[in-house]
Amino acid sequence: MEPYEKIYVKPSFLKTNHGKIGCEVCHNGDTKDPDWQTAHKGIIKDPTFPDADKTCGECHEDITSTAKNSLHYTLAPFGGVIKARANKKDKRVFEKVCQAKEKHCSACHSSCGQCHVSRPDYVAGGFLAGHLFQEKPCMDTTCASCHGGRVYAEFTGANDEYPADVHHDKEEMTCMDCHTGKEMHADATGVASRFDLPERPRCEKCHPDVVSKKPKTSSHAIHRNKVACQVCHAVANKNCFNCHAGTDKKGLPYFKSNETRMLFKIGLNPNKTKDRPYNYVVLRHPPADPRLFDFYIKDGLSDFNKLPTWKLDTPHNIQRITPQNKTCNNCHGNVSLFLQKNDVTDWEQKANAGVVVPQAKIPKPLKEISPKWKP
Amino acid sequence: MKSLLKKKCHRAGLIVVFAIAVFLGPAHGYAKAETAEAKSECITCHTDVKKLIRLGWKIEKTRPKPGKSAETAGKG
Repeated sequence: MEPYEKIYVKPSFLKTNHGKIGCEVCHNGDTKDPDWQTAHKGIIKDPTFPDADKTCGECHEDITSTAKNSLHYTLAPFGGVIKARANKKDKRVFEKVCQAKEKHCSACHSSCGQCHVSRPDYVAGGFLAGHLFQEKPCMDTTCASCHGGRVYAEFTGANDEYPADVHHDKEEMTCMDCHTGKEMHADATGVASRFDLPERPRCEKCHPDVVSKKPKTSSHAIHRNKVACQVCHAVANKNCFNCHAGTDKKGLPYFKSNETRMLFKIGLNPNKTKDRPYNYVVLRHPPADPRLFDFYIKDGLSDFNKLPTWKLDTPHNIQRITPQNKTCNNCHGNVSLFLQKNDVTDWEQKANAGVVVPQAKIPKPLKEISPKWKP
Repeated sequence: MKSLLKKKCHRAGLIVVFAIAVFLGPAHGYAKAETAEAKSECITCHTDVKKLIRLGWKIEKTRPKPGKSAETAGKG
């Protein structure tokens, strides 16, 4: 995007309700000063962060009152994970970890403006459409800016040899068809993970038959509530390993992650809930590493083993037919699909004890079920 | 005769004035709105592509953007 495009205001914006509000009302600055340098003194680039109450909230109070505590605004679960793994006994060390977290992790937040007006700051901003407010942002320029590495690539089929999600390919659905405004703007206070947000997308919303008492497909009757939907209907996802963060000589933050692997691993559900009662879920390895913040402080994440490094995941590459669901025994007895001890590095064994599938829990091979079978 | 001519002239004058008012009224109002918009230097500059491009070059020369660290490697 050319620098001028990022800040070019379309004249048509001035005719909209938002365009009729004076620039200075939201952004400060001096509207009468012809010298751009002095006119921009005290300018607020994104007036919707960290507090949208005084801008968007003036008219959209019903949305900002919850959105300011949403997952995109606060990234609260991220902080929760770092805190759980951090050295909390030594106050000085903990403070250093918090500083590193602020520098590296907290830059990824979003805001009203960074979804509905411009691209997120994480990708250096720039108006989506000449400052025209987008009620439903375009997923290719908005969502993909931050989720382009894993989820967006899976969803759109950008990973070589792996198909796009059937919802994208056949139904031409976008992120927002499942991840509605209700979810995006939901108050996430006290939510430990995005999977615990009550407003999150649910497959059964569009596929109620699957969870009904008498589903049309026998495999749904057999596996209902035992395996997560993605265990049968997702394909390999992107896994990252060994991330280290630091600051270079110019003072710019950097990270280095070693390898990226496309894998499909089923693990035990580490946190069964009423909504997620499954025995088996799909896992993904994020770029977590106990030495993540060693540049700033040694042993900052001394409680690293408190959480698994193979995390619950919902890959966004859903298919009706997948390699593992073509026949019963493509999964049953197929040890390579299940996370084993030897898939996990030595230093991660303890952290992942709750998700590694022991031999005894790998489903035994079956005689193929007759198509006439009825639940 | 004279008074009849006077009346006719008066009526024609009124019509002309009314016509001018009808034609120029909204245009005058529009011009007023334009002036109000033009008073905002923000709008004058941010809706002018040429100006923004030239300013962009100027800013780039005096304050180059820090960009991302060259040491970053791998996928985040």
